[in-house]
Amino acid sequence: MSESIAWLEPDEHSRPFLDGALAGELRMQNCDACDGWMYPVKKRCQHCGSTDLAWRAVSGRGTLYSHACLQRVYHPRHEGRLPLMLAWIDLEEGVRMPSNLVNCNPADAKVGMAVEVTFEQFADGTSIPVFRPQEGELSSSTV
Amino acid sequence: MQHPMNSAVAITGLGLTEMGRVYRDAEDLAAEAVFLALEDAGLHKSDLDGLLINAGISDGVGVPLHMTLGLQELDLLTYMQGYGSTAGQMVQYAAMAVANGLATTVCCVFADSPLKDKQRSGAVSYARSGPPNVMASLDTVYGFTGALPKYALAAQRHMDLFGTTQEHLAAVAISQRQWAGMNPRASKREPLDLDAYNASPWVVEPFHVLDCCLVSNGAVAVIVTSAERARDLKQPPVYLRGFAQAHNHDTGQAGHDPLVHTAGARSAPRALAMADVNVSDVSQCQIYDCYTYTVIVTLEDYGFCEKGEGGPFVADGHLGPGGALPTNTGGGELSSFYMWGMTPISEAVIQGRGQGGERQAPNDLIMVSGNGGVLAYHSTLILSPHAAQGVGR
Repeated sequence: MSESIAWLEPDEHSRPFLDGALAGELRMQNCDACDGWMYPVKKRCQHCGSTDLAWRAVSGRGTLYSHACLQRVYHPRHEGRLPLMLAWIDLEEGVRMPSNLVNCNPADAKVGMAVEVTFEQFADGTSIPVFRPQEGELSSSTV
Repeated sequence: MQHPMNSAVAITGLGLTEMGRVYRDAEDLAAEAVFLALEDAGLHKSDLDGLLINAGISDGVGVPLHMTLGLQELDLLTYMQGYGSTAGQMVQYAAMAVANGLATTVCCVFADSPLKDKQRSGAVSYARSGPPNVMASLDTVYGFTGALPKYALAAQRHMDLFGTTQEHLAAVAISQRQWAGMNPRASKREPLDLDAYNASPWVVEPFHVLDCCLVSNGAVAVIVTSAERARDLKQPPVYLRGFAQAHNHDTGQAGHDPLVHTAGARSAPRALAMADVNVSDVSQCQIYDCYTYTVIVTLEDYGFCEKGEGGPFVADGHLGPGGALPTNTGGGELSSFYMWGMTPISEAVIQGRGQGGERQAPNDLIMVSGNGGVLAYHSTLILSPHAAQGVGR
């Protein structure tokens, strides 16, 4: 368990996202006018321009758009966990989000792999969404 | 019918300051580059009636440069920002202004001074401050800091989809180093082989340090004037035969693939059409090379090979000395110096004049790319020592 990411203290814009993570839910902004999904936080729908946006839970399932291995520490959370797997996830709802891939050897990560959300807990009580391969995506020899 | 902009203008003056660990402020470097370009063209500063300015990440130069230069009356003046595509854009806007009578002689200048004394180049952050994004800090927690990780993910996607290999990325770095060995201005001139490339530390895998561009202080200026006037000046004219831009909005939506199918795919055909040539007519390329992958994906999107074939294409020796498509003949941003889009443009001017010396390559048609953001902003120039048939003379 990492020490703390207390400086990620939620503000009015990020609170629904981080509260969702605490509740074990991945939440994204959804437009009440056109039903479009978006990330990161928007004040206006990027699809239709409406300001009627609401945070709603998404499936948490998606595919791996791409991946890479971070080999240098850019943040205290990265200490002792290199290579940290960077991942862009295409969620079923149609949003692409940056995150990390966990429970997966770097050599087993492949574009298009089915992934699902899980949550990394911090000592200060915060939590962030990360992704792991869906069951059956990895051979038994790994993880 | 010939496009009215095909060969309407030419690049006449080129000014390059010293590059690299030059601890001078960006505005002073910019001023020097402008004066060097004027001298190179055989012009006086009173001949300039247009000035377009672009600062790199250090942001140390802006519109007030005209006061530093003592340019009392200008007909065209602005600061521009399209990141790595800006240099190509400045030449395009200068060309349109000159061709339409808004100005006669426009200097386009880029300057940057991010390196500080005793600071490692890796400590320089190219992270861009975009519009307020309250969750930007979360990106840092995940490890998405600046442009580099995103380019690494782009390269990895290409590798997974098409079988592009580490050796293919290495081939770009190695061929450009071969060229750099013949460029007295290049920062990195010592020979590079695959072992040395593989021994270079990882940054974000699949990128070694040697997959990433240099960080440089310096400035570059070019002067754009009418083709007719350029013929009367000191240097051989390098004609602007065609140009275009294309910009991709990163939608953050699944299903878009702008990292593998870049804006270059829309920019190149329009630039070629303006020049009334085919990609097979191109003699050499000066491709924006912030990372090795950028060269591979741009060559594909420009049509030099099929999508997905860029890896084998660059590994076949096309790009290096003696290759069928000499590319980044000065060493590029990877081995020479990193002046954003002015790195490829300055080498294209040198090559277009036939002044490449030991590294001079066939120069009949030179294709130049500019790229900014994460493969988002793109500019293309087609330059030549020859005006289109039926123009001028």
